[in-house]
Amino acid sequence: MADHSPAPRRLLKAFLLSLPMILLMAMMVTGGQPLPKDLLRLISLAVTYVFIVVMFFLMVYTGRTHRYRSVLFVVYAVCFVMTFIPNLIETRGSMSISRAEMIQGHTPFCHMVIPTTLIPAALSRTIIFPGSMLEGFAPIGFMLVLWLGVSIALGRAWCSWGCFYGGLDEGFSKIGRRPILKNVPRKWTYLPFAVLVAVALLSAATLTPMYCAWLCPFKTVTEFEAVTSATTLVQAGIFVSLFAALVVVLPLLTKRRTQCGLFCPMGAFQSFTNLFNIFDVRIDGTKCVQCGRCEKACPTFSIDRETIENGRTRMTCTKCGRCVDDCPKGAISYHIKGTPIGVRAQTARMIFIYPAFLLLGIMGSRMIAAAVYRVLLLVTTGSLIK
Amino acid sequence: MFRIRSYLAYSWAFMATLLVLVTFMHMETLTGRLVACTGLHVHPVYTGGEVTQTIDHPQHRTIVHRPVFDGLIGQRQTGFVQIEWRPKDANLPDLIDEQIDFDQDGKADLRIQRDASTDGVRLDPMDSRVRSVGEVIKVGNGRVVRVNLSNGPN
Repeated sequence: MADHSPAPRRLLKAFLLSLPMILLMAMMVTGGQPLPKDLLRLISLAVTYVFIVVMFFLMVYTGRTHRYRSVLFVVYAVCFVMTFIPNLIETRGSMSISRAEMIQGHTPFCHMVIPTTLIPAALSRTIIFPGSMLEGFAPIGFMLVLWLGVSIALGRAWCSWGCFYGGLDEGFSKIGRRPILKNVPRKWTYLPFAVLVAVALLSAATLTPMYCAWLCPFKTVTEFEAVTSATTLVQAGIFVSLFAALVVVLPLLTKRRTQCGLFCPMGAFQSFTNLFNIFDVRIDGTKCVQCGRCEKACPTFSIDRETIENGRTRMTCTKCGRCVDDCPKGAISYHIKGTPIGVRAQTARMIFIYPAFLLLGIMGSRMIAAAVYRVLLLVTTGSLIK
Repeated sequence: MFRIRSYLAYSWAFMATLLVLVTFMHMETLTGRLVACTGLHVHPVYTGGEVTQTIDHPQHRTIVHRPVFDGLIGQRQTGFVQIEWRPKDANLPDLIDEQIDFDQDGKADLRIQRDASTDGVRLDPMDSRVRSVGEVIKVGNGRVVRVNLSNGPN
């Protein structure tokens, strides 16, 4: 919903509303540390900071959530890949992880593994992953705390504001103007739940993180077990094919986030956190004209005729704001459970985007600053690797 | 009543910003507390289990872990014992030949040999539970060997 007050007043209002974020991001981007002495690092930090606060200011000033979230989210995912791969090559010499590193607990843990570790964690207080609880890069405990905090605060908004992979299929879904594959049968949207149940049970039975070992498409752009046997070769074939299909081709054809909406077991698992989370997205039946634009736009297939009639999204909603931005009648809004629907919608939106953007800004700033640094390194030394 | 509910809802929603900030600002403390409170640890299938013996040799150190049979619930029929050879200086000796008593009952359970010229590991079971050499992994200049075991009385 656009603010129709005069431009200078709108600017001032947007600035004042953005000011706490501008200050918080200044603190979070530097991590509370003194500014770096290395000029390249200083420049990359400054560029990142300006980019992030400008995105937030525009979000507040224009009243559009998805447009600017999406830019930052895609840049964050690309920068994650740009940072992660050179880091691996610097420290390990390759993208593949050896058995020696796995046995020493050097495998970085990511949130995608969490659902597959829960049954053994509950039954035997053990984590079935070749990582470390507290030490090294991306230890298990770190990701568990991050996931817990964000899930309580934001529910499945994690998938559109925190996940460092989601921006990849979102990025590909933005290429091209119109979808070629328009209708995805609703039954396919239950697939992530089936994958979740299958990988959770199989992982518990075999004490192996099955999704991570066999299915995760993002290993293509991060790290994977060194191909040393027929098994690891088959695994590599599977994850590369899934990446090509779910992260590249299908998003291009459907203009939706197909990995997130049709396959990801972490996304399915995260949907349950929406049930207790305070924020949701609601559709005001008195304003809705049933144009169906939200249904076509929703990247994760979380809106259909039935949900529109019920005035809410499905539990798989990632609170990306796409439907809120696209609704021509302003019938869809962020909502705080327990408050009246459609009343003080802008207040609810601001209260939601603050924690959500903080998550994206903090996570994104680290990746973006590191990626900008790599680019500057490439320009000045001719190599991405130090 | 509705008003009170609204106030509570807005208060809880405001707390979300605080929660995200606290999560990031106190990450290390929270992580340490989570791990300490829950007792969560990496499954011994990955770590090799707790170290039970460290045997010093002139050129290397032998580290023996406890036998691992841990399943999801209870113990599994098969498992392994992890033995590590770590050089004290640059490399492991040309020939390692030692007897390991992994259950510490005073009787050797297996004899294990490594010949540097072939980098091969040979196993002589001295206990009915010892089955075969599993993985041999090069870690730095040392080696980690997993000897497959069956779970049962010796």
